[in-house]
Amino acid sequence: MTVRVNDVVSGGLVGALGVTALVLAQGFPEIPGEPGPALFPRLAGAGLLVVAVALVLGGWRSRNAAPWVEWPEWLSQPRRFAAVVVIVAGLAITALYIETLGFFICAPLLVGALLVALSVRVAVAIPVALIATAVVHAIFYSGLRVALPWGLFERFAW
Amino acid sequence: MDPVQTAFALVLDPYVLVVILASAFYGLFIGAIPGLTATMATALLVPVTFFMPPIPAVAAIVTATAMAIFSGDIPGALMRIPGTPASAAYADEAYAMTKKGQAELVLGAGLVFSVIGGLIGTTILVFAAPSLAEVALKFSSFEYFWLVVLGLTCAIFIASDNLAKGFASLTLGLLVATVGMENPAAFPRYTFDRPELAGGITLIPMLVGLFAVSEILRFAVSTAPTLKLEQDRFGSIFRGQWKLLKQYPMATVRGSLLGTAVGALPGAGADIAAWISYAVSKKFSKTPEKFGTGHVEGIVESGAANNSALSGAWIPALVFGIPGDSITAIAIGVLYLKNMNPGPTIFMENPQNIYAVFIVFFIAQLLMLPLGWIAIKTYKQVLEVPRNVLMPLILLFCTVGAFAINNSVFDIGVMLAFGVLGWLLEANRFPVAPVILGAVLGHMLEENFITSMIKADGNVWSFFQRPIAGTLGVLTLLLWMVPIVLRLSKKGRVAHG
Repeated sequence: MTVRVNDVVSGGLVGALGVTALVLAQGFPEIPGEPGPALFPRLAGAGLLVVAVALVLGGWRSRNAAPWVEWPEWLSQPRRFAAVVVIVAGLAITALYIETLGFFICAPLLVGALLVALSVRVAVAIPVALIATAVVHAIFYSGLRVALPWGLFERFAW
Repeated sequence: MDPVQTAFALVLDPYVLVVILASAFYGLFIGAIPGLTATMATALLVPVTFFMPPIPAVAAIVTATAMAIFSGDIPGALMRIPGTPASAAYADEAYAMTKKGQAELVLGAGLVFSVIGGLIGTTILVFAAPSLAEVALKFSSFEYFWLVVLGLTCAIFIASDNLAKGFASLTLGLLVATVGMENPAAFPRYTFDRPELAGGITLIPMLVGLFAVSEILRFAVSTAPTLKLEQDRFGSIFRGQWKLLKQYPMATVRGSLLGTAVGALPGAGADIAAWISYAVSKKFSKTPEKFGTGHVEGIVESGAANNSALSGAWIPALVFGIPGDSITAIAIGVLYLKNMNPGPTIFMENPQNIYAVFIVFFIAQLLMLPLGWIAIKTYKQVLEVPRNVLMPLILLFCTVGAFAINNSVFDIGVMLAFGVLGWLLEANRFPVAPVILGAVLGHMLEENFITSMIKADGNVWSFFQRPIAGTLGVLTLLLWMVPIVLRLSKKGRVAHG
């Protein structure tokens, strides 16, 4: 389970998104005589605001039934917490640095770290991560011609 | 050569047949492992189908999903854990039958009635889609506008027990669809000067995030018990199935028809079809008191329903480009990538492609009998694949898949963002399907609205002046009234009572 919040909180978040959408849509041009590019973003923003009010009202009525924010138990369980961090941070790092570091560094790190975080033994995790990297590279780079970045290994590129 | 012959030639190509067979095993595997869903199977297939010609690409999706929906029954019967949400409605019942020593009967029923439901659903698809397409050929932007609104309305009403949350999800999807320059005025909206956003948020990374990364996150924090089979050796699973069919012909047909219909409604797929069908079965049963104690009747009916729902979902998807469930939402994305744009004209311009898709549907259902039998017999071995090794591999596959569509690292970020979003939405009981429908249909909604407004010179009444558009419009408005009326009548009852 992940963070569970009372609908007052989720409604607040939805409302904030609605306001942001509306504010940003201020700069969209108007076309005289016909609906312009601002119309739909504004409708979506307004829709989010309306539903936010409904959520907040509903949540307020049942505020005693559930806590405002229910923190999941995995936050205090190092292994599960680590697994979530590995997935989120691992993907973020891959997105940001795979072009510089290359697929052959990012992929085994991502897979290996998550394997270990999910309680796979290191002696198993390392070969699995390396084989998976090689197989996926063979399928997508050599087979399907996806330009997976070489990064630091550029000069070994084939 | 006539289109039907061409279609057979397209499908019976050895390459296509190999793709069908491979996706069948893939679908059976994904569906049979708890925590991996049919929608996830589809999302993970997309990066691979991206590099295939249109027919094998669609064949892969059709086959894999049909197999996954069936094989989701296996862990339900043997461990009380549904393999996919579509088997959740009757997992308890199936497990109770296994406990009574009827594992073979319930597994066989899951298989046989999945095949029957799938065949009936496909037959309806084959007849309904082309005739609907003929009607749809006369549709203008007004009709399409109302169809989309009606579809989105259904998505909120059916997909969620909480209207506000369904609406929030849908609006979020619509907002996502406004990103980029793909609007009638070609004005860059919410792009923050990033060239990657000029074309909008790419659908595939978003779907992979919502349906696959979110599942991996959920697995990472789950306290799932170790999977233990109630029984791992089986006798003949086909024994007694003919008797069941003779005993419950009405339930079989009713489940298949209802499943097809629910599948065709946008936002509701195989899982909802199974829940409704199970309830209907109990209501019409001669022995409703046996439901829940390990009684096969509800499994016959809802097992047929969830597989027929898959075919049903393709009716609006092929004819109007309006997906009937999350799987066809992804499939529509694939069709566009393959320049096989859905819509009524595809039935006239490329009938061989449509016929080929129909043939694949039939092949997939028939193939399910032998392959499903193998899946049941080897289920013990399937479960030996450790999920904590599988999940990291799927994550790598997701990452490469998201990247592959545009060769863009930005899309890995999109996948991550939607993965976390999907995880949070699900935990807080916001339905995910409306997000997808909003994102897929947003462009269509806006384009048809703007075109109509320009045609009508700003006169809103024009939206009701054509007979079909008017009917659809009034129907939609009436549907919107339903929750208000329900609420008022409830208040009235409370006041009087």
